[in-house]
Amino acid sequence: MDAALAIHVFQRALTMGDREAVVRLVAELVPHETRENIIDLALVPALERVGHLWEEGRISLVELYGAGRAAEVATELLEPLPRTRQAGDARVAIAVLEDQHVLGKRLVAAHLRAGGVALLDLGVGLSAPVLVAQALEARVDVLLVSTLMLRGALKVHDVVRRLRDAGSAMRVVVGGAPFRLDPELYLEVGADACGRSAGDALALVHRLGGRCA
Amino acid sequence: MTTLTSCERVGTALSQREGDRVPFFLPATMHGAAQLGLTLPEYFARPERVAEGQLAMLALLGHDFVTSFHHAAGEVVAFGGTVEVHEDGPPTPGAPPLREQDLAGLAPPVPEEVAPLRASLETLRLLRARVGGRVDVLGAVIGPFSLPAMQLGLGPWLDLLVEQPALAERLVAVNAEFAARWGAAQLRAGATAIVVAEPLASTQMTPAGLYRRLGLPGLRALAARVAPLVLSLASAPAIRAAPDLLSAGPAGIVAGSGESLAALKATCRGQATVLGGLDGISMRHWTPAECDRRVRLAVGAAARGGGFVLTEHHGEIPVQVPLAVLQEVAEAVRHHGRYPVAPELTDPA
Repeated sequence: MDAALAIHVFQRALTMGDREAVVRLVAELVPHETRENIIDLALVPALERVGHLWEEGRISLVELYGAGRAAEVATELLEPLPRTRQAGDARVAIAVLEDQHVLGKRLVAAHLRAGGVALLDLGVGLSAPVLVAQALEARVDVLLVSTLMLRGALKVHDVVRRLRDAGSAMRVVVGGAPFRLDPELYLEVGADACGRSAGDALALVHRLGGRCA
Repeated sequence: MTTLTSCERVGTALSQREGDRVPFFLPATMHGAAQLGLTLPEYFARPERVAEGQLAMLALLGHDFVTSFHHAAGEVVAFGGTVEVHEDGPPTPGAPPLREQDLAGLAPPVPEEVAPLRASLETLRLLRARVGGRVDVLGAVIGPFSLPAMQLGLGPWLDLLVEQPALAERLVAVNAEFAARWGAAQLRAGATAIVVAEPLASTQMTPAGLYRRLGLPGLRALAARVAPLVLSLASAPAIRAAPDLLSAGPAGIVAGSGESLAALKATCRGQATVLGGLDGISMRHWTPAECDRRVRLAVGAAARGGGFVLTEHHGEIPVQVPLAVLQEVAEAVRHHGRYPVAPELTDPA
């Protein structure tokens, strides 16, 4: 595979949310490449580039979302292929705290699943006690928390406190508008890291939880 | 210069002239509760309490507007949604009430038949009776292109925009009619201007061409029936969408968080007033010196020649921002916002 070309073509298809083009690309690559090569050398770098374009204000949320949806399609196509790499043991979960807006969670989930992370979805509109109970029960290692409003973002402090009170070393990664507007907020609420866009999620999960694909 | 009333000061700014000082508004829509010794659920339960809270903020801050805005969730109730109340933040909408299959037969509701909107109208009438003619009373409407994010959920709305544009167009048309009815009802109750929250009009959210095709017609239809109208993109950048937005004839456009006020003012020159300059999220930690610095920067960037109102970008200052910070900001505006603008503010070097 010419990785640079594959990344370019994937990025173009993803940015345009062109799911048919993504299906064609995956179909062309599958006979010649392993699942991991397609993910690591083409799909994930293309998604990261799309994330950078969003960060730089060069594409809109509609386009970023379309890219996430197209990546979901690619991931589903690749899912039946055999894995050549041993799965890691980090358990990664995602949830929306105190809000019904699911877009951020969905985007992050699309990036992580495209990157080969087996993700546990804990749901939306969860209170801090409910989220912590679910995460502890599932023995999560890395918990990704999405928020929309400042009120929800500040509740992360309660999540972290409850986890530590329970003796858990679970790593907490936050994201959402309040954390983009106030870059210091994630430290204030005691999170381990903050993702400014969905494109950050994979690297953060790898850093905090070890290689999980 | 003689001290102007708030209405005179705002009118002067809107006509692109310099009054006695820069008009300003700190949209503290929740701080009034503590002033009245109430919890937020208690506060929002009665329209007269919200009116009293706004009047308390007016007395404490000396800013140039009051607002009848309760919370954004009220408009979703008109379409079958629910409101969740909280002790530590504004009421929020429950799960999105509409599904794609509901849209073909959807009709615009009558605002006066919706309990939370009736409460806002009552707050408006009370405020108008107390400060009308002296202080402007702002009403608020969720924009017809952004309301679907709460009606359907943002993901399903973006799917609909891309995959079923005709159905999306229909939903925007229904929402535009509802927004026009809701805005007109507020004007009849005494609002002097309507703030339209339309964050999805920002190019950060929607490609310009897509918004022009599916969103702008709804905004124009609304603007044809509701005026004066101020457009807020709820902290999202406005400048790249401004030429389209200006074509609807708004009286003002609110800048996005971190956006250049000077650049937006240059784009809007002669067509609309620019509002903005303050960020409510980071405001929680502002020291008196930071309050002073932020006000100086905003005044220096945009105040000269009028056509500027200093305000917070999002339209709802978090209740976690200390009242003392709001008072420091207000004091800084009274000091640095006087016309003519001090030369050292416009020429920091």
